[in-house]
Amino acid sequence: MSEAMTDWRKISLRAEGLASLRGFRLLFRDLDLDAASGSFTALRGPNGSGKTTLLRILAGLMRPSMGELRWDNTPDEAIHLIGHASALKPFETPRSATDAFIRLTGLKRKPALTDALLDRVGLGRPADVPVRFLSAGQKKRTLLARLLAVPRPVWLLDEPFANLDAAGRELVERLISEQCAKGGIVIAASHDETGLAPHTTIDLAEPRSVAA
Amino acid sequence: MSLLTAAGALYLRTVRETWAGGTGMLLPLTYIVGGAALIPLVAGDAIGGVAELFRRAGALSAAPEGISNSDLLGLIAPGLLWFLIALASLVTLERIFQSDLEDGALDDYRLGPLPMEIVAFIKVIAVWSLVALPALVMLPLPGLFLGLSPLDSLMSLPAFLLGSLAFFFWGGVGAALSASVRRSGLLIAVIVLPFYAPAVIFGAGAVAPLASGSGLDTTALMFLAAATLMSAAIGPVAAAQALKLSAEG
Repeated sequence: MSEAMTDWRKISLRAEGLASLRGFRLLFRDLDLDAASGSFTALRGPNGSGKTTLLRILAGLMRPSMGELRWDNTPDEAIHLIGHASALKPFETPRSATDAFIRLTGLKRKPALTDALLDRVGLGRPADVPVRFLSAGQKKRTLLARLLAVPRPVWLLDEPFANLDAAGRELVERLISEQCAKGGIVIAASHDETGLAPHTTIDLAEPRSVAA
Repeated sequence: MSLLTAAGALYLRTVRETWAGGTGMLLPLTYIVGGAALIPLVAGDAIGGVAELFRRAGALSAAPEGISNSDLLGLIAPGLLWFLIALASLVTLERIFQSDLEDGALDDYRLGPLPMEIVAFIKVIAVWSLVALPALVMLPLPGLFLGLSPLDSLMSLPAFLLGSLAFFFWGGVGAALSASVRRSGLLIAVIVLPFYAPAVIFGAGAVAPLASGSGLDTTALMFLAAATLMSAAIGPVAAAQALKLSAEG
């Protein structure tokens, strides 16, 4: 564990000249993004400006239309992406979803650890309630539990504060600053002003149409 | 071994999801039993009529006079079962990858340790074991409706197991290609039915001798096994590429 953390100190992201063209809409272009170990980057911009697309590109799930992207010194399976979609199955409970995620990563689940995690994200009480009965905020908290359950250096967070109450937002801020203190990289798309000052802010403008 | 843990977790999660889907598991079974129950009603007389035509033309002169319509139905029963199983596999394939794409689970899998080819392979096997296996174990029932003795149905089980696996591996490709499309059932049928042909041809060849009272045709069974292995080798790779493509959209 401590060895993994020293490794985190060397990780970095370098993206140059990224552009994304969706249909006839140019979401962004000439976008440079550098992130070093321990940094927190905020993505801002109006709805539809390409924040989610950029996060998916950074996660390697989509290819940029132009530009290059390099992660350095990251271990295998380095990235957590917490997106819009809940990635939770209706029949799962916060506990079983967290355990499933741990096992899907190839790790052994430890019941006591899961209990502690769910307490930490404020799901101690509804830990065994099926996801379909949970509120949007509780689903979000279930996803936050994964960030703690499986340590990965890079967190890509899409609207991490959405649907959360004041205590939940405070929790997210604390998680982000802890992750940065450990040497991780956090990149979050968010509309909200938070108590947490980002090291870098990337502004995505209104997308332009390139149709003739 | 950590990859085995991940593979087991994916298998269990897929089985649970398919199970929680409710109708998913019983649908193919109902489809096959229902179809087998209807065929004698609609085809019994027609089969008799066709046989009568051949008899008049002298083609069936060697057949004994007392042969009944149900005996004739029994002759084509193994082929009809292949037909029903192939169609039943189509109706269950639609959701294999669709929900994972919609709820973002597919992104999790791509960021996890398992290669997408393995993910596709495990998901297909999981759905097959929950959906196709029970239907095949119950095969003597629809076989009976078609005039096939339970013993013959059981003897033909290896062929149907192999064939249905091939259907599911090819079907997984169709499901992955159309995962981002609503009401994708039609698209899947159009894409994958041509790929069913080898398994159906060799499969029908393998079980054909049952009607005349001899065992399985082992040569055809070997070819069927080869067709299934080919689907297992190519299907998950093609499905993985299709899934990566659908995430771009």
